[in-house]
Amino acid sequence: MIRTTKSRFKMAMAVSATFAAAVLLAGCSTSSTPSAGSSSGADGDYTVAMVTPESTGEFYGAMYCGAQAAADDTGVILKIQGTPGTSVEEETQVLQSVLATDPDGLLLTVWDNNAFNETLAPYTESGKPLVMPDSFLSNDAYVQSIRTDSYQSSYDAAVQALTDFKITTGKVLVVTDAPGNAIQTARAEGFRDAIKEKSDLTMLEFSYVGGDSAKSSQAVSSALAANPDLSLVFSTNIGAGTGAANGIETSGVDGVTHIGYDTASAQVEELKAGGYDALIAQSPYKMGYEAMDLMSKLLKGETEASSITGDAKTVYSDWALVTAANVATADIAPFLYTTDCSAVS
Amino acid sequence: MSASELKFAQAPTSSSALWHKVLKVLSNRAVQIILVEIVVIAIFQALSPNGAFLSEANIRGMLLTASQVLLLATGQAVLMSAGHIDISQGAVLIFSSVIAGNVMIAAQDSMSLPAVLVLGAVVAILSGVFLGAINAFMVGVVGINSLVTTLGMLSLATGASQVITGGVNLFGMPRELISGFGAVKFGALPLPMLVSLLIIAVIWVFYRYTGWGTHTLAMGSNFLAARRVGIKTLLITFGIFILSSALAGAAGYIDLARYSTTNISGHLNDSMAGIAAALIGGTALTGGRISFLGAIVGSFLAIILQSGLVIINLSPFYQTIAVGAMLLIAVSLDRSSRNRKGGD
Amino acid sequence: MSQEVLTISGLGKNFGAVTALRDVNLTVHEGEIVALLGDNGAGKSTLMNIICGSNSADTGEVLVNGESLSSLSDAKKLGVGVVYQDLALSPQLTLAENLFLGNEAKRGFFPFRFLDRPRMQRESKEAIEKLGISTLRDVRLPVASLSGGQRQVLAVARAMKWAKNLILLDEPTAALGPKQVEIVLDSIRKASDHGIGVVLVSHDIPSVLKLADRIVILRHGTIVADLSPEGLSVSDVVTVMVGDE
Repeated sequence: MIRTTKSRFKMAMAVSATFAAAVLLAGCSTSSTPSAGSSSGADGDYTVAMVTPESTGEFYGAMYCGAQAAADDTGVILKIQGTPGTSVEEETQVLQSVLATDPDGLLLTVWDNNAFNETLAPYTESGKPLVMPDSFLSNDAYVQSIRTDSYQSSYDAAVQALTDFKITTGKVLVVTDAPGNAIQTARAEGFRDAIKEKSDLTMLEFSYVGGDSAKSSQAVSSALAANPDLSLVFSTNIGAGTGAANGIETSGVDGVTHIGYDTASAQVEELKAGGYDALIAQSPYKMGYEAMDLMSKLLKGETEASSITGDAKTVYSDWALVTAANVATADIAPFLYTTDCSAVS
Repeated sequence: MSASELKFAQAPTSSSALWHKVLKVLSNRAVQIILVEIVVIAIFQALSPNGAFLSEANIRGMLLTASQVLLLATGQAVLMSAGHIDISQGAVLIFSSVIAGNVMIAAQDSMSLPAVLVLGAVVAILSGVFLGAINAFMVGVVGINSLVTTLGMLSLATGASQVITGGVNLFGMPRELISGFGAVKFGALPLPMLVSLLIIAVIWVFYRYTGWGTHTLAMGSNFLAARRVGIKTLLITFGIFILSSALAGAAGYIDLARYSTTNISGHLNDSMAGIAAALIGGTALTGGRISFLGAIVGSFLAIILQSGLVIINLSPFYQTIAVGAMLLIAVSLDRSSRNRKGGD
Repeated sequence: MSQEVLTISGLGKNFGAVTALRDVNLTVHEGEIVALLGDNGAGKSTLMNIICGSNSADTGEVLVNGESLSSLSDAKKLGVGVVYQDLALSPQLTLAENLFLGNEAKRGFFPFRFLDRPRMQRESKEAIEKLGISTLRDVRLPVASLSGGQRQVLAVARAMKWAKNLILLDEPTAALGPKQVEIVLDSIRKASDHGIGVVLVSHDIPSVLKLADRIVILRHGTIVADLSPEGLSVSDVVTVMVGDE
């Protein structure tokens, strides 16, 4: 036990020195994922910073791969930072620090399109370009937003699924997050509207389970028990989907089609195992690539920010309906989320 | 101040007297943390591109984050000195911001702008007072321990916030909240940080220089003894829980002033950050010891680490590990409080 | 006729079905040292707790200088000093802080009444020196760094400082070496010389016989004997305590 002040002081110094060494080592090392440090580039290159939430997840992992590929292709330095969490204050802390490094350009994803306006004001008012993959700002202070049309992707996917899976009658259950989650609500509503307008099936009330698979499992089991003619279940997030798959399996009912949203590797495994019949996949790799590509053009003067106005400020990116049949094809590969860049490019 | 240091003091010659004074200062946990922070800051500054770490913008950003953490850490430190804890601060923060935000939005058409802003602050703090009183009642009157009580309040306040807002964050806050408070700065010093420091200074003066501080420490050190000598333990219990939640309410107001909206699904780690800051700074979890300076510098440690690691572009995968490891090390620096004879 | 500092009449206390005290009558005069003896379970602690205000009686009353005492705040108001068996000290607080706990010295005027630490430290030093202790050097040391015996002496010093009419001591010499026992007994004598009534619970019967003016023996919750110590031997006392007649 270290008791005297002198030895404790020495210990503090030793610890700080060790920490410094570790940080230097880890920070300078390169790895296969693009998120560790910057890419190579000659002096005088532009430096672009990228900030997202859920920085250790697969969706943004694929997005980083795309962005890094575009950065490499256009000879721009890309520094990827983010918060592993999803809350506003965590991302604000990261954003503040990133902005202090005075990047030439910023690629930013936020999950609350009001809360960041103030923090970004010094940056956006300086005239530097802001491109937003997978999100937008309520004050329109960005050059372009490249994101999935949550509503329309669900709508069109529902129509396609009805045809592909030959579902003509029965009831439909949508399991989703909470009314306050705009993106999930858009997914849910898109699906519901397609069912109402493009089919003869009957919609049940939305089931709000957050991202809680236990709640979702319970909700789906109850719905199956109450509605023997339930033929289609749509889950809008991974937690809801895991629970729904579980609920369907444990109730032993056949003939229920389960469609999920997003293709994290856990969900793809579940798809191959039969827990999902199809997954609506976004294309984060493409989002990242296109956002970074636009950013490079803006920085090099090949494109003028002022030329992108009105509807052109929003670009809706591709989606795909992934099934066990097509999951292994090369066409579908860019739609599967992963942090392993070699699998996507 | 470590007593064991005083015991070993020899009859001083002038240079050894000076050395012993230096040792005494260095035995203070807050000072140790300051030294660690200075080293870490120096390292980050040396490694950061164009000295970005100590740029005015970054310092301001860190101080803004700290303005909320400091308030929570102070509330935790005072509670911990009495042997209690409060894990509901994040939820109370959200609840206060929801109530205050709604009040301000409703009042902005019928009241003058400065009055609306002041009203918002008052309402935010009073919301905290209200919830804190409930905590105090459960702990002091009903007799449930503070961890369980504040766990319940965490759910209660979170649920209430969600019901009131329907899960949707507020929109339409008066712009002046930001332009008149949240974004006001004096160089690198943001106004919210100045306000937080003032609040803490006032609390510190009362804690250190009136009987309240000694009595609170006595309650944490030996509750029964405190009762027996006639200390009004129930009154103090109410006071400290209300203080903790009122500070969370103030932090909620600052939240509104920074983001111009509520953040209902966030603030999950706020209480833990406050507790960690107080612990790192030398306040004992079991009561009887407190360090206000320690809570302040303890709050900064995680903030400095998080900012620096982003600026030097360390992969986010490693950041969480790095910060966690550093905090653990900081806490284990001084364990002499365990070694006092019969202490704790 | 000297003043009665403590008057207990008809005191009774039950804990559920158990009768801990029954029909206890006791008076203590100014400057009198009364020792309360009894076997385990006789009711000594219960009685002490009621006298100091920690607990309240079911029947009967406790008067100090003629005024009713039924709570801890009454006890404080009526100048009753107590040395508890567990000492009631706060280990992390300093000597001076413990001595003044609940009775802090302040200066200034409402609402700015601030602690007068220099005065408290000075008076603590004096209080300890008055007891004749030389080993408690620094009043700024936390109590946790003191030995068990030093803590006990501190608890006695605290009771002596604040008691104006009556002092209650519950096993005050339990952890002490012979020299410290003498110091404590001496301070009890000094207190009684100043006119403070003393009620003392102790298992140290030889010391009690030397010190006390009266010996009151409790058995099965009631007083069975109120004796003068003159001529009594230890075994005499024990006989009455356990009731072998």
